[in-house]
Amino acid sequence: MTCKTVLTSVLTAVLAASAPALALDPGGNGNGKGRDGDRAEARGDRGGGPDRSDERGRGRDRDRDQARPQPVARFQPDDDRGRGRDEAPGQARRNDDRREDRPVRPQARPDDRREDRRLSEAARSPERLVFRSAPGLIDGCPPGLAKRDNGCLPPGQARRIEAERRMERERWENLWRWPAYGGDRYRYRYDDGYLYRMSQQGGLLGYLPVLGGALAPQQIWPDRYDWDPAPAYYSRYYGLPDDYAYRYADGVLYGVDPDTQRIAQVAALLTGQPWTVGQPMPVGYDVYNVPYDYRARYVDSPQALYRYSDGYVYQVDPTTRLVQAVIELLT
Amino acid sequence: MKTSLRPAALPALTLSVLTLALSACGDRDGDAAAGPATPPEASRTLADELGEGRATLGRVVESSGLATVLDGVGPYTVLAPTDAAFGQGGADLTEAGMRAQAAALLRAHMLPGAVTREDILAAIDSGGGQASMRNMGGGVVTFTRDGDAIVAAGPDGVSARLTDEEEPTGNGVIQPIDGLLIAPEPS
Repeated sequence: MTCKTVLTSVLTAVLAASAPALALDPGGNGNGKGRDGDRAEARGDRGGGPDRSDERGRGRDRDRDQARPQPVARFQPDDDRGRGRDEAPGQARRNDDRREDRPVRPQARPDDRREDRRLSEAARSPERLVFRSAPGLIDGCPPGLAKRDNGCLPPGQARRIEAERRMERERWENLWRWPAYGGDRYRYRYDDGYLYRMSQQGGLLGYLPVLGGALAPQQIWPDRYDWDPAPAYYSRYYGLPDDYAYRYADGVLYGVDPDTQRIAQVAALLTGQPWTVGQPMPVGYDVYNVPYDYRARYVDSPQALYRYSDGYVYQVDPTTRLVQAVIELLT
Repeated sequence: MKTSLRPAALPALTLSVLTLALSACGDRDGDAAAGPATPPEASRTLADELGEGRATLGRVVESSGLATVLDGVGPYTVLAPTDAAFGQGGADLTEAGMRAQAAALLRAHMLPGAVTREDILAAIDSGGGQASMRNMGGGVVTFTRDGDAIVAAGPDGVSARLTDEEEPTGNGVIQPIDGLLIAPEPS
């Protein structure tokens, strides 16, 4: 990198880093802690609210948005108002042209690729997904299972099969001791697509559909399991087919048929980490991890660190570790 | 509370940072802590590479339903346990009833972005002997040195060494490891 390039970059960085601080307001909607509080309150409302298990399709999603408080800041550019949650720009579904789940091959990006966009330049419609701090637990038992003191038990023969398989599954119970799930504060038991949260005394606290289980391709999206609409940016960044709507839940981006609610594909894994301009960089990004295609452009230096997360590159102050700018990798 | 930068402060800040940049021009070029790497051939993906030569991990990937993710844009870094690292547990994870466990195990061994050994070592050295990276399962993987080797430890402290050579792909990096970062309970 030449000295001229460095100066240009630094000037750009200063201007860019200041603008998002003005526009994104880290103390307002941009404050992850404040949002968490809102979300917790909203989740509480939902838990005690009416059972929406008989709702279906996009109409259901519109009703949900209108009926409840918005728990998180969502992607809502001006031209997107009035859409259902499953309808987003770039995600228009083509009738009679539904493709099978297909891999999206990484595309080599040519040298003359479009310039990346700092969100400071796009502050009027920042397509940022605001992640929940924890997966949304569902009260009670999944349909067809009876609540017992120690969990949700299947009836009759299924219970016998369950006992035979238990030893095998318990070998991997460590998998569910994730910090996102509360770590050692709870006990978890996996069964037939769902993870059951138990108190240390064994009482059932709720359940959660998990990736590969109830949230596997071809499964119908579980009723009452909440999700957030994915910004159209993710459709562009990950090159996702527009046949499906994309939903984010618990670190996973799913492609879902908005009519049948069937999961068509697992589109991407996301960390769900909150990166906010003016706030400290999240823990767990000590190592430079910028994608190969962007390493020549975003180089760590005494003036700035660059880290990749969930489709964005973030510029960080090496001294204060505060996030200075959010950089979209596509325009 | 707003922490917005006051517009009036911008010129001064800009000038000060430019001054910093000017003073650093003489010795900074080409001396970054991390920088360009040769982009790998884009036609080979993580899914392609994991499906070849890694019998157990390849089957775990298929079982997990995450093959499309590993064949997509990414990028991710996969801490890839060898066949021997799975032991008997590897067979469990390839069964139809264990798809969720396969997906969870895989997420615990995936990191966001492209992480090279050179960058891990640089981070360990600049971080006082250890460096942490978020995994795709909500936990943190901690890297340390053991002589010339790099050791990765999962959230519960279960560790493995990076072994063999790293394998850059078009959508990430494969870092072979000689153990799992989440151990199964003894059966």
